[in-house]
Amino acid sequence: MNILTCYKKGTGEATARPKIVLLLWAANAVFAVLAYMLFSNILASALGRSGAAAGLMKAPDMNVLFEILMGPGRPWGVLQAALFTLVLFYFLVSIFLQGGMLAGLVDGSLDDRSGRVFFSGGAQYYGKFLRLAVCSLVLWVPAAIFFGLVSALMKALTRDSTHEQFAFCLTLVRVALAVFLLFLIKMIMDYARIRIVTGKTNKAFRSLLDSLRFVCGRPGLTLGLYYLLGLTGLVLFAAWRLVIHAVPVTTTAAVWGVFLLTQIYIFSRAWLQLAYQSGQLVNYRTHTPPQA
Amino acid sequence: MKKTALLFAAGVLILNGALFGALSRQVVAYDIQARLLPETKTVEGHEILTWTNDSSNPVSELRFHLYMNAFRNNRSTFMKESGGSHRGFKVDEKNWGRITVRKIAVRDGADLTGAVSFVQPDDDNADDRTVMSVALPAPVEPQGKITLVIDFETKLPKVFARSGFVGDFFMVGQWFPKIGVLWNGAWNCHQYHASSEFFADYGAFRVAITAPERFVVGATGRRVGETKNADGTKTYVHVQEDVHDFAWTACPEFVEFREKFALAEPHVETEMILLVHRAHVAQKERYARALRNGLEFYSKSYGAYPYETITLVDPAPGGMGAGGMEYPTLFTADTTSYMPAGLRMPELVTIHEFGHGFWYGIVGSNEFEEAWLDEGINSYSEAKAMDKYYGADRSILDFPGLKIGEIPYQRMSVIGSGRFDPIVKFSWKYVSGSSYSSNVYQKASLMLQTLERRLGEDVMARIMKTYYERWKFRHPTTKDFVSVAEEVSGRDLAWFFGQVLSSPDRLDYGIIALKAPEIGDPEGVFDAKPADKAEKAARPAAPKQYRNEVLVGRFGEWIFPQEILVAFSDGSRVRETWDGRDRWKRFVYVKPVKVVSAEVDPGHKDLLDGNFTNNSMTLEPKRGAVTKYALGFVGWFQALLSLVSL
Repeated sequence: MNILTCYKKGTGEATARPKIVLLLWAANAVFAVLAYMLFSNILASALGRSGAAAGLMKAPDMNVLFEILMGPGRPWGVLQAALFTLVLFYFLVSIFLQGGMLAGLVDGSLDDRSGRVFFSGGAQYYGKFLRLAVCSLVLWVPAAIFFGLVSALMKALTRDSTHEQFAFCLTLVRVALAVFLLFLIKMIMDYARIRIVTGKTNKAFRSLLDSLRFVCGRPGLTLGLYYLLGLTGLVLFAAWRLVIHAVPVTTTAAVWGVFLLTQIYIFSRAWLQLAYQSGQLVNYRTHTPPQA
Repeated sequence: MKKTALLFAAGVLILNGALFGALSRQVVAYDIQARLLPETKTVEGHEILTWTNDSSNPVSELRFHLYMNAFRNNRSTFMKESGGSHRGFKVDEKNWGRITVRKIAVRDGADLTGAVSFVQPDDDNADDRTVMSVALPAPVEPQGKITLVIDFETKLPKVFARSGFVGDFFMVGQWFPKIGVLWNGAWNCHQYHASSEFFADYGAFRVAITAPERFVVGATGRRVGETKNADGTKTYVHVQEDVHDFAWTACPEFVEFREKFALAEPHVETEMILLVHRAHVAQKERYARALRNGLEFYSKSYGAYPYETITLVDPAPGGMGAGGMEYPTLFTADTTSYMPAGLRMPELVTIHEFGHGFWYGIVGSNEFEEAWLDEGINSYSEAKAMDKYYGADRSILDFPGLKIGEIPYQRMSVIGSGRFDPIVKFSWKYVSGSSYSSNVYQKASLMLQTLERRLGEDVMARIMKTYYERWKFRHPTTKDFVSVAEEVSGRDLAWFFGQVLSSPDRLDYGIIALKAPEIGDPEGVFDAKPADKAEKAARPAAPKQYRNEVLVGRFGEWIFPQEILVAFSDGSRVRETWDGRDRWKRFVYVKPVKVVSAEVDPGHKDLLDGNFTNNSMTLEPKRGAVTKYALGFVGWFQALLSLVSL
């Protein structure tokens, strides 16, 4: 089975499970509500009953925006800490969501049971996936060391600041390497979770090593599929930005309209999340003989 | 020998403007031979300086700037104040710079080398050797002249602050023994400080620069000679009158572009010389356009650019420490190999540094003591030029969804700075480098923008033109600027300049409260018997009345008269004036309609106001903007979360 077949089947499976996609979106939206409360309170207290608020509705006024940023109180440190905490909590919740998604996909049911399967799967695999996240340090740490060494080498190569273009190219290479390593490990983690759910093993560390072997055995196929799905994500992102950019946000109705469009985009991201899992599940099942 | 002496005398006369109509008072005449030795990063120099005692007292001591000694070691005043870094670039401790005066003598007279000492007029730092004192065997009488012959060697540092080298790129500024200014009866010859620039007397320069043939050389003034030498070097002779400094540059990787610039009114004819490093050639047109804009704007706004050349130097990669610096008829710009078109740094730096040719070059203010007269006035001019040519709302950043104009940027800088220093202060006496820059650049620029909005654009334009015309090729002070502003505007501006120039305080007026309670029926005990229910019911219904109150406040220390615009629900508006002296003032309107909004300084004339957000208030909060920005932010946050979970 080639990349395109896995992609097609994977996205098809995701499309067939709108309830799971809705649950993924809802989890995201809960955190969004918390972030909204935080940010709108800060903005409301900074603007108060200022007439500048009316102007901001029409167009961004950099004078006022800078004053909010630089003005007395400057709650940005608190905001930063609060957002970091939210992201951390979301990460923990996402472990649950991964279990739910995979359980739903493996169960194969498309009926009303999918919600129940999702939640029970999330609970069932939470401990294993959490252990897996801890075990993944054996990948993250060497990757960080490798990246550090490559960076140091590149820094040494660009010490002569007169080679500006060369330094710029190497910076791009560094960024590309960092992104590649990040996605590579996330992909290996995906296959490790699939391995756990499909019942090959319950051992987190063992599943991580097996998935590493699986990925290394067919790098073109696994990476190709991963990046094809990534490309889909980029297309969705570009479409969102283009649509948002085209809408003049000068009325309350337009504000909510744009917010609705954003939620459609976030919904599509949730669909893509599921498509990642289902596509890779298809790929894994195709290349792994069923357990005796 | 006799012939040589006659030729020299003729040269001196020409340099002093005696034969040609000089624009400035020719106090100095420099004739320098400089040889660049790229291997040792050294310039060997032979200088003949003729100095005129333009004071009314005999002078028996001369003072010279030896600026390059700022980079001699880590104990110099510059290094102590800067901590070895300048605009984010750090000193290379393997490549110190210095200037050594090997010999100084009166021409055909006494050797003064033994009479040399180092003085530290600003801070008594004995390790600082940036000011040299030379005791003369006999005083120079008023209007008398002295000609000195000086042999010196300048070792250039690796560039991190204006002058120096990186690879084969050499920016040679502040490189020769430069005599100080005898001003108000005393030597005004300050040490080289971290937060200050330069001050010198006008005169004429003739400099012969010898460098290996492979180097492309650029320098202050027009080139009058170019000779190939037998040793594989070339000598370039540059001359310029009516300037107070001379800088040059050399790099084999420069690509030279020349373009004529002409303007009919006022009449300008000059040659733009762009020395662009090969790595940045793709950005040549950005530089050229910005320079054309600068020439046009400054000439039209202040006075015709008077020199025959203007040279833009694009520092080599790694040499950005040399970037963004002005010298007469030559300046350094700044860019990198990949500079997005929406980031206007090359344009801003080009216009700013070119503009210094007017505010520092032609109007020779004392940058050590009153830096705002060049940096502040020039930032004001530059912001106006940038706004005109690149758009007021996008003159700094112009990307889809992110546009920033220069005025908001200047305001942000001032708002974000502490209130420790005023605008007028000796440059090295500010609490920090950022306090220096936010005061002399941004706050001074906002001060002039505020003045312009209060006096009117045409009045301000006349002030600037008059100031330029009156003080070109001279050394004005803050007092001179204020006096021109008062004279041209016909107003007493002491209240304005007195506060803004000499106090570190701030301007902030705003609306404290806005309310519109309904005036109810009288309740309680009155002399007249109150109407009973039946009587009330029988009367025709009186229209509701509201007691509209607008409470305006002064949150800052500066006192500026203010205008207040009050709007009512029936669309009517009232404009009030307030002298702004008290801490608050209440305006009350009893009307059948409610007040809907009030705003202090509705036209945002006072760009110095530290908080525009509190300038206005509405009766009901406008939540739309909060929702808009909060939801926009949430959208990005949600997108981030969806990545976390992938």
